[in-house]
Amino acid sequence: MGKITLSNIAEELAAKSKITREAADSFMHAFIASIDKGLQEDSMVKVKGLGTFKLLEVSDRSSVDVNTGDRITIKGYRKVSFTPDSAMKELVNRPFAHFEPTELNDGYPTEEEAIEDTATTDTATEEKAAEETVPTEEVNKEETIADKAVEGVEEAETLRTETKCEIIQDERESTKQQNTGQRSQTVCEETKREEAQPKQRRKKRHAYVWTVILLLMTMATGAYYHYATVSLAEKQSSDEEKGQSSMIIKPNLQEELGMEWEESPKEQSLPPMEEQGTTAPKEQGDSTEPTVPTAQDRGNQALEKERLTAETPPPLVPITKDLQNKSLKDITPADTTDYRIAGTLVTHELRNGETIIYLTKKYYGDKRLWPYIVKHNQMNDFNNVAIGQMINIPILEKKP
Amino acid sequence: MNNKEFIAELSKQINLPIGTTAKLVDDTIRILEEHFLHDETVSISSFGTFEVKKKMERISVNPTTGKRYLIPPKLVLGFKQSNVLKEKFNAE
Repeated sequence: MGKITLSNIAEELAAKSKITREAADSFMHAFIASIDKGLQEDSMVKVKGLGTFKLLEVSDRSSVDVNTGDRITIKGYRKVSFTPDSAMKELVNRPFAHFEPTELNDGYPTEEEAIEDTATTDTATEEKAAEETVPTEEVNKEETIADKAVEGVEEAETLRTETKCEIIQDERESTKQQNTGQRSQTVCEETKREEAQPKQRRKKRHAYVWTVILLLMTMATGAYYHYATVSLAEKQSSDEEKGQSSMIIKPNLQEELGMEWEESPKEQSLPPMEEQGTTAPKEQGDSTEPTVPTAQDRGNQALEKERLTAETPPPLVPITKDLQNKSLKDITPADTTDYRIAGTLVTHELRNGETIIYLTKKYYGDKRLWPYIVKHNQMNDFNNVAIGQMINIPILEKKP
Repeated sequence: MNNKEFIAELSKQINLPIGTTAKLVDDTIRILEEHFLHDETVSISSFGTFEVKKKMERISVNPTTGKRYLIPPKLVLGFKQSNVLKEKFNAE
């Protein structure tokens, strides 16, 4: 780690070459002077065992003054560069010489592949026990039928390769004993691996497609469940309306609906990035749009914006339809006819992370009452609010 | 200027036959190597500094095949010219 100077080297040289210290000193100075001279004359000096010195031109470049920020040009200059000799390079790197560049296992085997591998080896062992090709092929076919829903075409391809391998294996097994059979198996595996490389990409794509399909299916089931529960609630309400007074049903249904409202964002949040706070206003905007006439009356711009932001997720479609029914409309708390705005309760300054829905929940304890705030503040787009915006929170009086 | 010319020039400067000069140069380089191996910085005030630096390992991607390689760490010999040398060549 220490710092060695020219005189240190001269000293060592004197000891090594058995010359006087003065001679070594002058030699070292001459050594440097020669390199210097060579650079001046030829602008490059090659010293065997050490490396090459070159005189390089560094061209002008523009830069920015750190203190003033002005544009300045750094003048070009000449620079002595040094490239170590290959022998020197290796010698210096000797402590790390045993390292070699290694290929990273980027395309790590997916689960499907791992299962497939075990499956193929299993069939191979089965084959050994049975020593008949026909039943094993049947087994393979059964497997493919079972896996077709998941694997599709790929499995058929692997089957083809398997059968190929089987043929080779049978030939060998007929002539030789089990040990050679194992060898042939390895040969088969090698050929498979060769084929597996282009397949790997396809498999990845397939895996992606399947995950998308699975997602869609879960969404569809969610929508169905949603629709089923809502329609059930509707039926209950119509049944009960016949027998009992509507006053008793209201809280029941409200609770049920409330459950739905609160559940729906959770179902939606399958991609887990979305927060409930951010998803809630969108959904509310979609579902209540037809029930709140004020929102539609606002300028076309607001509507367009809302449409852009509205992604109309499938599970919510049945609700929007249901909300148009009168029986449900009566019990929807978001209906602007239920309450009356009676002045301003308080003026709230929006802070970071707060939404209109959040304010509704905070002040009324029920986030479905948000249209009153929107109406009271005559907002064009409740999704687009700024930090520091003053929001008047209305006093709500229940209509008789 | 190649190695031969360099040694000829050096032998002329120190008034020694080329054979001995070559041996001396070889010895000097052996000494330098010894220092580099011990991770020592050789600083020649009128010329520059030789320093062994460690390059960290890195991941490099072959652009044509898309394969990723882990390039191991390595030690390289670097040279930085001294200000004296820089001024000498940029005097004009």
